[in-house]
Amino acid sequence: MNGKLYNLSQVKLFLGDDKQQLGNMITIFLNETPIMLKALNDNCETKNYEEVKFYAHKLKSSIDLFQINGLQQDIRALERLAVEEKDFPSIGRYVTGITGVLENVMDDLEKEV
Amino acid sequence: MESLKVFIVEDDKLYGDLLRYHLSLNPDNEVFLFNSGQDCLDHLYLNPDFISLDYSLPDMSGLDILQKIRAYNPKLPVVMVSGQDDVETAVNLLKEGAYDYFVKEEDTKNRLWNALKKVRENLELKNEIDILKDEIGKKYEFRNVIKGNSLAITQIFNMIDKATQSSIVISLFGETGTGKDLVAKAIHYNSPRSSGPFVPINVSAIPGELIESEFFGYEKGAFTGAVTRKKGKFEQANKGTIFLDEIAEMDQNMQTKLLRVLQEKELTRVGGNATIKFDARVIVATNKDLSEEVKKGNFREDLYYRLLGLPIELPPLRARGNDILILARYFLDQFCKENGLEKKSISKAAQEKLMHHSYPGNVRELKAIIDLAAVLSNTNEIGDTDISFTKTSFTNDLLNGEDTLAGYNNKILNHFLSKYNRNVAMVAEKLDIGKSTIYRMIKESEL
Repeated sequence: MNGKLYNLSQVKLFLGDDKQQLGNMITIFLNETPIMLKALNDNCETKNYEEVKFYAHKLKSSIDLFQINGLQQDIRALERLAVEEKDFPSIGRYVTGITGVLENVMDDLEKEV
Repeated sequence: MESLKVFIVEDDKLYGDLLRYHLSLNPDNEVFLFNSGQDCLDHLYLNPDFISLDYSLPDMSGLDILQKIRAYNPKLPVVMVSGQDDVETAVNLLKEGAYDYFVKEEDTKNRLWNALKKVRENLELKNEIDILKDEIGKKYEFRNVIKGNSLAITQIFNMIDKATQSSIVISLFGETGTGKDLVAKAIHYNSPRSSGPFVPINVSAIPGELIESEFFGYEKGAFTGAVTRKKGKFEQANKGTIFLDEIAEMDQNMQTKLLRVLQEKELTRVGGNATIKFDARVIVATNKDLSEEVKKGNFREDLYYRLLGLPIELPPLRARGNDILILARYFLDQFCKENGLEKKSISKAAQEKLMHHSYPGNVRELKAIIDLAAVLSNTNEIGDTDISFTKTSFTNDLLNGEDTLAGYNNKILNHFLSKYNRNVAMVAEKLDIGKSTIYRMIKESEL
């Protein structure tokens, strides 16, 4: 265990040894994730669960690709709850938790670029 | 093969870029990335060969886009990529015509890679088939198939030209060996149906008890030996052409069935109940005078008119003048090429000899004469002694040398007796004389 919240092996499987492309991918992640997180939080606040589900679904593939520790189950649980439109307190807790972890991941990834 | 145009439709920029990067590793792929369904639809004019489509896009559902793509090009392979492993969705998408359904997971890139490989192989195969079809089309370009520039054959070219413009029934008449089968193929391969099958069937070669099942197919268990369902020739010819050669030999019972099928444009397999629609162009051929067969009661009048369509009478070789020499040179070149012989020419004397023969076997006979001459010839020129007409060329034998009238009569009778296996009734009918006359001639001349 290297203590990191993420694992780049999956992305490297796509890219091989192409470090420049890896840098590009991380940059895309760093640019796109804050936009998606903001949309996720805004829609959670206004209880627009259809959109919460949509952004949870979109974040899911990035979380899977960067194998972000612990979030792979949480993002799926959030998506499921948003589909069911129940247990609103849990939805809020998941959104807060996922946002926090992803912000930490982005801080760490910035050092990799 | 040209590069494969690949569309990736993915609003997740990260995932889309990864897929684009991965699929671009093959330099034969030209990869385009679109972030919305509309963007993809707006670029379909680029004619992609493959689309990887995210099921969950912001502007429209994956199903909507799939339906629109398929409306544009139903043969375009579209792989749906989804973040959800949802069996019901996958089944629905496959029913709607998706090529495959992948869940975004570790293996996705390999599965996409393999799907593309398969699509490339299929396209290469399709290209090969198109090239072969094109070659067949050229092979049957009618001016390549039917050699000659006589007035008689030029008129045939005009008729073939007309025949290729529509799906009208074509009836080909002409003596044996005049090339009715080649003309049928030429019409098919120069018509809009050329990409469909050409299904020839020789009516006289099929035993009476099998003809219905050969024509219309049969269901499993329809009769002893029918262990599986089988499509008939009419179904096989769907979207193409069915060529019924020697149509005059069809028995009356089958004529009735054929008439109904041609009128209704649907058939029923032997042993089946379901009616099956078919869409095949019909070309028929015979060396008999069908209208005479109608008069004699051998051929149904209603079927005759149904099949007459555009009649084309192929001229016998003896009526084609200089075409005999054009064909002779063509056959000679062809034979020499196929057999690795040096190119040969035809001497003036041999040409004279060829021009004065009556060719009862028509083009087929000429080809046999030329092939034999090429083998017999010891030089690069075919001489008149290399040209030998076969014993079956009856009219030639008949007029070779002089004879008395009684002598000619005996030769004619002898020829007809051997042609019709000494069936006196048949010979009497053909020569339009009484049987007793024939018996008398046989007795007198000891035939």
